[in-house]
Amino acid sequence: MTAVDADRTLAARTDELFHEQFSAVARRTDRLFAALLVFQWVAGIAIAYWLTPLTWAGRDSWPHPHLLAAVFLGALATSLPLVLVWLRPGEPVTRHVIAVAQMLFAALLIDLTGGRIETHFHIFGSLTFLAFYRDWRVLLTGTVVTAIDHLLRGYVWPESIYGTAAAVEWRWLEHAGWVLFIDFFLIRACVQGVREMRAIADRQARLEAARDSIERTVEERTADLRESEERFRNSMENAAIGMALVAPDGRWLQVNAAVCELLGYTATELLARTFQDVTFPDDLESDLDQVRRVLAGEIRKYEMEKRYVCKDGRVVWALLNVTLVRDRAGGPLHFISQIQDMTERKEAEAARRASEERFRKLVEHTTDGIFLTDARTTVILDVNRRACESLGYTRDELIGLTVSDIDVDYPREVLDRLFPAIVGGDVQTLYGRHKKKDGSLFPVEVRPCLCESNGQPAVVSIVRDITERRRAEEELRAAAEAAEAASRLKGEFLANMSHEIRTPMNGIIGMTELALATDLTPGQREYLELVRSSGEALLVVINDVLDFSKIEAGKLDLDPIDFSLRDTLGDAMKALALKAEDKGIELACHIPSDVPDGLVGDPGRLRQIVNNLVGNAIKFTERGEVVLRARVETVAGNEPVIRFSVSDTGIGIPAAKLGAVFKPFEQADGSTTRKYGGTGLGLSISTRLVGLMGGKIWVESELGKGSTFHFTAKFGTAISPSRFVDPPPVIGLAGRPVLIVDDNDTNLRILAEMTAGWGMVVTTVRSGEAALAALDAEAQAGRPFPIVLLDAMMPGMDGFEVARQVQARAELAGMVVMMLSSGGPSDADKCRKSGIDLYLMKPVKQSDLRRAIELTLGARAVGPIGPSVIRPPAQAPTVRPLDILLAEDNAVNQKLAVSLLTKAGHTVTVAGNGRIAVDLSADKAFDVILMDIQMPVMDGFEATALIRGREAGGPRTSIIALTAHAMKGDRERCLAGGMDGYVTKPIRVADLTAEILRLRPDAAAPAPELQGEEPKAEPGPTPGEPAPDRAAALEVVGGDVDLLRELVDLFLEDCPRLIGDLRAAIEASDATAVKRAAHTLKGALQNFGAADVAGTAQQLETMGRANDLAGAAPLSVTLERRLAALAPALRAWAV
Amino acid sequence: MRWRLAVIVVGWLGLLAVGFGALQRFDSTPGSIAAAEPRPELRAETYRLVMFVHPHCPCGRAALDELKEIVRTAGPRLTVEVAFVGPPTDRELPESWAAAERIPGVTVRWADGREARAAGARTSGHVVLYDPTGAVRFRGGITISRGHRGPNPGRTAVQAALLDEVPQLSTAPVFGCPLEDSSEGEGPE
Repeated sequence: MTAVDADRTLAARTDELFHEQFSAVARRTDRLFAALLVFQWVAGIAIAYWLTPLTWAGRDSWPHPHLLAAVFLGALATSLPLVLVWLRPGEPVTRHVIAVAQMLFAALLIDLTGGRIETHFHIFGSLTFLAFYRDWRVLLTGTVVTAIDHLLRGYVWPESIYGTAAAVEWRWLEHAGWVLFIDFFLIRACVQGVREMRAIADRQARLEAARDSIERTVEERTADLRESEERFRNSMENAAIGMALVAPDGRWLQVNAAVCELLGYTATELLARTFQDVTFPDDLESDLDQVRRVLAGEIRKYEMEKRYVCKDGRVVWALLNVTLVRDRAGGPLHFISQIQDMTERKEAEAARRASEERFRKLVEHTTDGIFLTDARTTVILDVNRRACESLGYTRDELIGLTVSDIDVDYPREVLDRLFPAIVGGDVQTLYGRHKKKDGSLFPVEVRPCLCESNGQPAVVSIVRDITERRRAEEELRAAAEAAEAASRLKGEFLANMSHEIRTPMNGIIGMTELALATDLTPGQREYLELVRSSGEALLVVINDVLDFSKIEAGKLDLDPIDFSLRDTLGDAMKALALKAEDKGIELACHIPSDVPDGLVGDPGRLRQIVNNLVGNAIKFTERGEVVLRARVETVAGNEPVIRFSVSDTGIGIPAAKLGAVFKPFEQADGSTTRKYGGTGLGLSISTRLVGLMGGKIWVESELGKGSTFHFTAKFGTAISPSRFVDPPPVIGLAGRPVLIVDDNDTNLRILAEMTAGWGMVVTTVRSGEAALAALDAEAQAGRPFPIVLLDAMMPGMDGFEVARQVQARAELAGMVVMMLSSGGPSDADKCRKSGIDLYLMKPVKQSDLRRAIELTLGARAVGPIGPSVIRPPAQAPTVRPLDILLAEDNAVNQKLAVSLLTKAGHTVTVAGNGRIAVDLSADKAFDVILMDIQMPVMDGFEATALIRGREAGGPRTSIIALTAHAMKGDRERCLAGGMDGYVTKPIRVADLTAEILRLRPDAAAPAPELQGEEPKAEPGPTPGEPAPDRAAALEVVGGDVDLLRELVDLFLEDCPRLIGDLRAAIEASDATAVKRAAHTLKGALQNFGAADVAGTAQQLETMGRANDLAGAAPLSVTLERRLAALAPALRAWAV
Repeated sequence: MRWRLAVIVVGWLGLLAVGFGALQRFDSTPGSIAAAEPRPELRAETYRLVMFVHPHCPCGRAALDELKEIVRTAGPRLTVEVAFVGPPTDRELPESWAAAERIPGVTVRWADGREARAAGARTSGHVVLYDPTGAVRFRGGITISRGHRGPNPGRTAVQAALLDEVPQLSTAPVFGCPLEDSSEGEGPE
């Protein structure tokens, strides 16, 4: 701001202050006059009341007009000034109006007092009061009012103011003169007062300006100071280390957050304490000593490491720096303390010391020698105690030696080459020999690693005396070789055992089969049958034991090939169907359509697992059903994991035994083996096989209700899955109605799913009666079923009876009736007699059922066909007569093989060893050579090699290996040796035939006629009476007429006893005995093709099984009557 | 705003002027005087002045002060009587009785209405001056207005008569309260 601006500002401020002051004076004087006017008004009233209260007329009186004038005229004169003082205080108009009112009041008072000259002093007093305004113009107003008043009164009524009516002019002038006299001084005083007031305002403005200047300066200084303090406070508060101001007596004066955080106190708590309060007692004296020295001026500052005790009792380490601040006189003001937390450093140091101590102890007490060597010179810098002990030196003797001095395998030149690799970390372990002080050597293993010693590269080597380890390794190597030899011997032993056991078993079973084919007495036949079945059982046991041995030897492997899952499982189930039928339980197989069929795996081993699980299920189930289910568990790429479940309604397994059943030689109950037989190895083998298939096996079971065995197996997807796709349909099945009749829910559901999956419209019923009702209802509605699938065995009305009822109803003519049964070959005849179009063995394969339905419906579509039978696919194929060379050294096996082959129509030439076989095959071309592997003079491999060598470029003879070996790899070895096929001993005709057909499809015999086969004409029985079927009976006995005759004799002989047993059992209400006797009768009658009578026995058996003998008595009478009717025909056969 | 304030101020001044005018008019309006001159009195040795005063009229004090001035200048040649006019039944001594008695040589007494009427006095402060011959030399008021003291024509005429001069006036207006109320004869007796 310039000086001119400052002057202007000062002048403006002076004016402002002056006007403020002037206005304040005016307002104050306004208030004075307001009070004065009110006082005058009251005083005027009082005077009037005192002097002239009333005016009289005789005795009448009333308020005197002077009193009224004092009240009202006085109020009028007072009113406007009061209003203006209230509304416009300090304004000129207010004070001028006040001046007018005040002077008029003087006139009023003069008048009220009767013009008393003394009252005129009121005028002078009023002017003097008006001078309080310090506004001379107000005085003029008052003067003018007075002058006018006097002038007017002087002219109009002078006595009212002058007390006389004469001398008007001079009295006016006299009064005016006095007033002007007063005015002169008052105006002068006003002007002077205003001048002084302005001077005061000027001084005040100057004072204010000076004060403002000082205040600004103070504010600026204060702001600077505050900023400085803020910087200091922030610096202190935010310092990374603790900072504090401490009084000379130890009181904390100021602390920052770091100190509070370190000690755990709040600032307030610390400021109420001294540093002595929080100093660790052991460190207090040394700290106080330093403080004393600083206060005494011996030192200016000090630094020390000390401990503090935190609020929570913890002890922390801190590095303390203390400086003393003194005042101008040199007296101590306060300490500045810097407190740096070093707890972590102290703890780290302690931890490091502890670690070093541990490491030192570890080094000293380890069983390995430890050497610290210079990385460049290999000079030993330090060693541990063990190193000294192992070498026989003292520590001082070793230090200073080089590595080459103690390791004879690493001279200096080798180490010079090796050390760079060690430094580079390329060498992890070295082996050498250390030389003791006494000169002896011992092997060592050295593990070097690079480190640093006193800033120089060094190598720490851990040296282990491996004398004992070397010795142990030698012993281990020898033991391993011995074990390997033992394992090899075990394998050879297994192979030999397999051969040595199977060879005599081959002879036993084969010769027994040959003997059974001869004429025998019933007793002899029974004995031989026992021999054969015992042999078969023994063979199963031997196979299990051999499999288990292979598992134990780790020689059990899988042989993966492409296979059809449904055919494999179907075939396995069919092989078990008869066993299930014998026990009267339902056997079912359920494979949903989403389960792939063409897989890669070992179907033989899969069938082995299924046989084992389903066989067990049948074995341990007395009634109900056994169901095999398969479904896709997961699919990973092309490797589906299939989950198989075998559920039964058998005896179940106690929960405690669930885990044990998979262990070898264990069954759920020790008595189980005795009751049900078996080796107890089946599940153990299955477990291992499942493991090989990448799956797992487990069981869920409830005692008394049944068990479900699950296993999963991983398979590959067949490269050509189309091989396994069903052939194209003969006709479309979609939309065709089918009625399915079965009392078993599982079978019903499986059949329904299969047929529904082909698009057929499925109706299911659970009894024969319901089936007939359904058939009648649909026929009457004009929608007859084109086909019905009938279960043969049902309680009440069985399938055959339903079929007969259907035959008897004209409205059902043309409907295909398909029977599903596990009743054995005898059911075939019953099917024919009951007018059944097709007959399938349960459990039926999906492909078989579809082909059968398509074939039947297709045939119907082109014309009526007669009763047909599709035989079970288990029917063995046949081979045309072949010229076969048998190379076999064992005489029994020679005889057995020759007998089986010649019986099958083949011509057999026998060679006693391989050499002879080679020679014979050179002379003559055989269709097939059966080559034993183990033969004297020349074994099968060598003979085959010679034959193949001779055949080079020419026709190739099929060579099938015969071996009792059943070890994995035999087949491969044989095929690799030039052979084409492989059959294990004992020789089974079916196996041999299948292998021949595989190698020589041209050797197949013409297929037997399956359709339109008319039963052979026999002397028919009287219509309505039961009759045996001789053809069927001969089929059962393999065409052996003599055997049939013996069977008839035995039956006729035994029948009365069985009937008696049946009768007694019915009378005793012994359902089990009824079932047993009826079952025996049924079996015998089925052998003779007497299906009708067998059916009656079946009904009785069913009653017995169901423990419901109501109606059994009349049925047994019927059975006896029918047996009596059957007997003549049977006797005719026995003649 | 300013002109409104000016109007208010002017109005206020106007009302005050009216008020002061009315007051002026009251003060300068005299009472009535009987038209007939009173009967002469018997001859006496001195001048005789009788003043009729209403016992409660506030203007009486100014009249007594003027009478006191006349008495002071007249000396023994004048006999003065101050007659407070009032009925005999209500004659408590008024406040101005003592003031009248304090005038030297003045006889203060009560008078009834007939005497006042006979002397032609109808307004308080009315004086009648008889010369030694008993002739009425002056009758009327001796104040210049209601309650006002000071030189006035009535007092001057009385003083002139007492000096045996021929006064310029034989009568002057009387300023005071009526001695009787409006019903003639029912005033203070």
